[in-house]
Amino acid sequence: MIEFERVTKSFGARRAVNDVSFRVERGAFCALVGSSGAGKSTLLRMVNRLVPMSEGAIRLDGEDVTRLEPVALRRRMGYVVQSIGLFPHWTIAQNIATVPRLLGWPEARIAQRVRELLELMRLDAAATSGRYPHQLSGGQQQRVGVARALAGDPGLLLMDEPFGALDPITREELRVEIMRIHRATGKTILFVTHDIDAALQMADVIAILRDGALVQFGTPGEILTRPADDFVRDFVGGTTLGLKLLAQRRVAERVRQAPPPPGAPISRDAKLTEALSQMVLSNTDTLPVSDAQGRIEGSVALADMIVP
Amino acid sequence: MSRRGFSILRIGRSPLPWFGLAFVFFLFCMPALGPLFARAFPSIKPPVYSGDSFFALWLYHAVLVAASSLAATAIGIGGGVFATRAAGNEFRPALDTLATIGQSFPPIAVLALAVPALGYGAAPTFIALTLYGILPIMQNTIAGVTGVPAALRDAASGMGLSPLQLLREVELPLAAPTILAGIRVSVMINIGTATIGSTVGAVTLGTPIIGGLVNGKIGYVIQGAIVVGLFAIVTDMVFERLDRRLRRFARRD
Repeated sequence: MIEFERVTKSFGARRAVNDVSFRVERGAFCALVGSSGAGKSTLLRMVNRLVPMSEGAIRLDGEDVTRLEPVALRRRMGYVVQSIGLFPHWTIAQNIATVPRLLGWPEARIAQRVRELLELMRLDAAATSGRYPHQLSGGQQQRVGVARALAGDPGLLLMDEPFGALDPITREELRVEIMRIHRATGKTILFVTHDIDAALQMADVIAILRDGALVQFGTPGEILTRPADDFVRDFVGGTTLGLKLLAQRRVAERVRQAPPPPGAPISRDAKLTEALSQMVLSNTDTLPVSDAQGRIEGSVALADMIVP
Repeated sequence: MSRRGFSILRIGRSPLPWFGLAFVFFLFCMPALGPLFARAFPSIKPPVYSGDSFFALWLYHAVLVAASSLAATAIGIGGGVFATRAAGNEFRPALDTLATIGQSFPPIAVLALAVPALGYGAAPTFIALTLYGILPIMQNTIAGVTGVPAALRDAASGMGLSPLQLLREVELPLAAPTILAGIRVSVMINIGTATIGSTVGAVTLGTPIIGGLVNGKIGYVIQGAIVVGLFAIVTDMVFERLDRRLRRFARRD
């Protein structure tokens, strides 16, 4: 669990982060969202004390981070940055082994951990571990960056626009990968991004920052249905907000036990936007719904989809 | 089989072994060239410099250069690293100015200034060579360390590398090729400058050169110059190999 209490960072008269308080539960995926200069990276960098706090407190499992020794604190959390920051003079295996080596793990355990992580990040261990960073593509490099951050098995992962420098396809691949890893490992993740759609797609909770202040903190659903103000409304989607809301929900939530209409069924795990799309294409307002085994279990109607 | 052939080819192509052989030849076989020098400069007796052997001269010379370069390297890297730390940052303009002034001093002037302080012999030469050698190493250390991308430093600190680990494991290895280039410049200058050390009484390969110049024995000047020149060339080639080895991580497959 990580707790921000009235956190403030002043650079002279300017407040880069102003009186921010919120709390992220253990194992949650929290996105810090805002335009550039909103203070989201500064807030993140106060967690691992790369930026000193001016006022307030950040507590990690109840422990004030300023009471911990910075180097020891940082080894307890993974850190992934946009520039990736792999050490160019070390092989991929050596890069991933950085923190375990600093922690003094025995050689055999480090080698085992490196293999595990390469596998987790879907990189070919035999082909990549002996290579140098410049020999890998940008997407592969950031996979190594994530693996390196996970190496010491930290409870918390700090990610600062990690996929910002990658092309859209690679970025989407890595987002899916991070969501999978989040589910598989149960790490708490703080993820800085300016892309609200990425945040809606990935996060359990979203903190929206504007000019250093927290304007809204809540689940994607809350932010979409009850935006705190016009800024948040515009920021999360303006006129397409309704569609983003549909994208948050699954067909399963709106299934009714009615005789199914004819036509191709939609999976109960599909997003409501997919159901809407299929309705438009097949010129109908109800679709049969199939369960995981492909059996028809009921139907979904447009009227049920548009109620909040 | 093909690998072996390849390596033989490479030895044949690299100039280092050839220059190395030439150097060793002149170092030990100069007296054998007596008849040749006697024909070229009949008035010089003996035709080949007959003080210390060229090997002994080279040994004095090499020890002087090695000792002063080691001292210069230690001071230069130490000073450069200090200047790039938070605590030493304010000294950096002063160190830069000092470096620039130092570089504009001709080596012979540094030598001349050292004599009144230390008297004649190897000591003033050692001091002058050390002082003159510090500057390129310190400058290159500063350039190399500050050349490490800020983002890389940030990632390293964020992962929990202590400032000392950051220096030892990231900054210095990445700056190593630049620092080595500074050491190379420094050593090359010192090999040349050490010959001038003979004017203040140090025994070096400059001894036959200076002696030859003073007594009009041009053959001795040529003999000393050949050995010093080859020594410099071979040393420079060794540095080039070291440099290539240091940059190994940057090779592409």
